[in-house]
Amino acid sequence: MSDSAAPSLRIPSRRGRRAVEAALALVLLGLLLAAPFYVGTEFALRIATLCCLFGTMSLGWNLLGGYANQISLGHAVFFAVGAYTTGLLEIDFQVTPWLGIPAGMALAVLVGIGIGIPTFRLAGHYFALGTLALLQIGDILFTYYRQFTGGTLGLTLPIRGYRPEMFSFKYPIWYFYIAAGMMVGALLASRLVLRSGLGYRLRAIKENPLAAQLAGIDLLRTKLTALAVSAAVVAAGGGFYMQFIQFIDPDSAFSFQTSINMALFAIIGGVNSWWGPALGAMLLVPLSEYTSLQLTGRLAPLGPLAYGLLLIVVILLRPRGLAEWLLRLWERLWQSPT
Amino acid sequence: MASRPAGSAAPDAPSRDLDSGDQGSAALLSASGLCSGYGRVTVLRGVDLAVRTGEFVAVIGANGAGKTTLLRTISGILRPSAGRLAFEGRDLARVPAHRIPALGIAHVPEGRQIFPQLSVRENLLLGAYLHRDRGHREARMAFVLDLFPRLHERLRQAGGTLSGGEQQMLAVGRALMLEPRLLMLDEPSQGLAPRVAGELYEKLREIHTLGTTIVLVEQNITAALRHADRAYVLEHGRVVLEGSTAELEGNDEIRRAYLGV
Repeated sequence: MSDSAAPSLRIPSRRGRRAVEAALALVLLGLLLAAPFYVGTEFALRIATLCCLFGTMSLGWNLLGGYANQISLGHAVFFAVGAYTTGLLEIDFQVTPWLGIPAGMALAVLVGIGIGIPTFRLAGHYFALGTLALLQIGDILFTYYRQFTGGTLGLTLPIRGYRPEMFSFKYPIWYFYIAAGMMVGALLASRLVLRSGLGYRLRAIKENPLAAQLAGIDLLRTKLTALAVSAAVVAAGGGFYMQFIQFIDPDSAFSFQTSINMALFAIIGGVNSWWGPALGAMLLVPLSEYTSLQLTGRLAPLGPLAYGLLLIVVILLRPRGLAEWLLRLWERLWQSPT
Repeated sequence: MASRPAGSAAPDAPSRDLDSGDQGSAALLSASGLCSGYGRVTVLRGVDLAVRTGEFVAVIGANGAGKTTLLRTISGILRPSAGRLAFEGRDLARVPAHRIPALGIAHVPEGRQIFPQLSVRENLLLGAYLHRDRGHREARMAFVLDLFPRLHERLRQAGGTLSGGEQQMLAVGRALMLEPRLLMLDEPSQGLAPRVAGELYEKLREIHTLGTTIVLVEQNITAALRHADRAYVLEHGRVVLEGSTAELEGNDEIRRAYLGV
């Protein structure tokens, strides 16, 4: 009886899932460890580092936007909080970024809860609008109060020599390894959340908020918990960005593009998967960087155009994301009909 | 006249007392003068009802009479604007919606409300989300699967791939995972083929026999009166009639006036 159901109607088997995940984890680990051998140029290393950074932030966005479908269009706010906290603490108080980054994460959690409590209570898209508004407000405030933030001139980290205890390294590969470690941490957090009770509560809220509430799930508290973790992960990315680029200004911190990218990588990679957003970033960050490098002059608009077209194609063909597609592919290849 | 207008004293149940929070033989669920609605729109305009432990009570009435609003107010999704609402003598008005299930009230809302992308098993486990003890959850699962063998066959299938009747059984099964003392159902037979609806009602009767108190909201009056012990007729947000289903069914005048059959 149960065998008569079409395979595509069935949830991918746990064994298949585990096999795909284990294979991908090995590939990823190999790629990360072997980076010094195949990454020849500083440019390539920079892209690899950005991949890990955006992978981390997209994974963070996905905890709330993907798992619970609480779409945020202003998640760059948490990136900005992370970046400015780290930068200002270092410049004004000589606090090491090793403490500045956790401080930024903590502050981002507070900001997240502050925006979440009023907006999550309202049904509809108020949370998305709330974070979007915060993005604009942040941009204006950080531009206006230039005695604290540097205004439009932004913050530039002082020349500090190579001091690992101040997050300053001689070899760029160290930044890459730190970003990679951060992404592995975000992957583990993402997996932990998905497999935990919190993950099930978030999925229940996404699929049927009414039924979730009637099962006894506290909607507000569940969303706030996910938002807190999400904000912390994105803020860690912001703190790292500050140290890696060594410059931040309101336009690049409170950027709508950054917000959209976090969402986009997750959607392309697969929002229901704990590793999909990282996969999305690994594919799309190099693509956008290389097209903007290769296509210059009169060809420059072709880069974003090609990027946009690719997104449309992927969304049309694989609306559930690449991660789910890989799982289905695995099922078809290896799970012989029993 | 066997049936009587609501509000008059019930000669057959002198111990029932709507106004006091008395325990013992008092009502499991009681409402008096209950008003509720959406924002400024008042739907319930003073509902009085009492459900005792072990009863199977139907709430019937036309579209817009306030049946769904009544269930939503009991389960905390809507807040009463006036009146009293108590479960086991405890005031429900101040209990947040997500704490209502923990009190032992399960609500199967209108339309097959399941988690379509989660497996049948995950759907059921979310229903037992409040039970911290794994053994208890497994025991509830065994009970529900025993009651609905069809769900057992489809445990690993996504909920959204089930047939309409199976989805409704899944919704009822998920509610039962709570081990509720009061099970409330909102139009469970809506959109189901008559045979499937009949099957579902048989299951409800079985659940009732096993000791769960049931409040059933229905537009399908014939079916509701056939399975319930007692019924309330709602009209414009008020109880206009109550009595045993046998009384209500037997009274031609009432049938014509209120039940439209």
